[in-house]
Amino acid sequence: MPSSTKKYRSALIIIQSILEQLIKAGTNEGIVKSRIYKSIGLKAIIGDKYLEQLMSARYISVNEEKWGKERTRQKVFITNRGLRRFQWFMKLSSELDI
Amino acid sequence: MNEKNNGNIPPYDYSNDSGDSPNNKKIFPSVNRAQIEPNTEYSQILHSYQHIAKKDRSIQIIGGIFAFLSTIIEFIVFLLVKRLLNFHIPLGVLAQFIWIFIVLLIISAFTIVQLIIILRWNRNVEKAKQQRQTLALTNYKMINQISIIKFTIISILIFNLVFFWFYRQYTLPPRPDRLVIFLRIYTALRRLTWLLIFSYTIFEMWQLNKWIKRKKAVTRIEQKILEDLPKLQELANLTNTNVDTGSFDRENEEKNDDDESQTFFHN
Repeated sequence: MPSSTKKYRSALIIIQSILEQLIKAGTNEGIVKSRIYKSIGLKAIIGDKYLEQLMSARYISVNEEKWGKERTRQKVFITNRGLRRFQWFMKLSSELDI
Repeated sequence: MNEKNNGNIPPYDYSNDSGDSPNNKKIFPSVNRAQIEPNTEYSQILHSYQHIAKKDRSIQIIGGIFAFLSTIIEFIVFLLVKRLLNFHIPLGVLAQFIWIFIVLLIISAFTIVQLIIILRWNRNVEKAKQQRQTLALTNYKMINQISIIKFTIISILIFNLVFFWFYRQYTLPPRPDRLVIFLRIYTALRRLTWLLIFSYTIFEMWQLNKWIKRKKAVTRIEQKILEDLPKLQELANLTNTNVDTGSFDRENEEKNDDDESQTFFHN
């Protein structure tokens, strides 16, 4: 494991922001993928990679649901694990003693 | 400031992933997920954050006092040197006795930089409290400021050592009678500066210890996330080249909430 995490910070802030968006929406509500990308300023292709990683880490789950007659949309939900990870970062604020 | 442990970071076991640890319950009380309304978790987190988030006042107060006193000393030294030059004392001779005050000027400059960074740090806390900025963005703005604050503290401590070296190296000159008043003022200023720098060194050493611990806490949490996400480097590389990070603002979020037309995906 590398000693410095600075080089990952740009990715970590996006991960935190995604988790924050999902918590804000409500754990049972979920958000449509494209809305997350737009609010964070991610291109869809990059956003998909993030969500893929977050799914494999079991931070989020993605459900597909019908939208209209032919179209489907993918809703993203935060898992308990994702919620705890976000709380870690918030706990950081207490550790930072700000 | 954490008064219980004198500003130090409380130890926390990040290996406990259950979310039910006493520390976790204390900061984020657990709720029955079946009974909660949507948004409750976020409200709780936000409420906890607002409760724990405090501005860093120690650097602001002590640094402010130091900067103020050193400015007064520098001003008096300036007037003193100006008068001494009228006595046809060569500047080269004077220089060796004012080195300590030049070092004091450099330390003051670093202190002012530190005050500006702390001002930004406190502004971030205020923004998060008033919900004008996301918690994620607030966290990372502050994490990035830790390195700068550490740099200013180390620089100040190095120059404090330089000050003490000059102080020992150049002792008081012999006392020609015509300069007795000037020498008395000089001696007083010299001692006052020594006292000021000595106190400030102790304060900055305490600060260095505090900020190093903060930095370690950040690294510890980030590394835990890295264990969960082994391909984080790949994501970071993609982000650095493709993302407009300027869009992380609340106004943008609110605007996007109304944009329903973007909320579907074709398969």
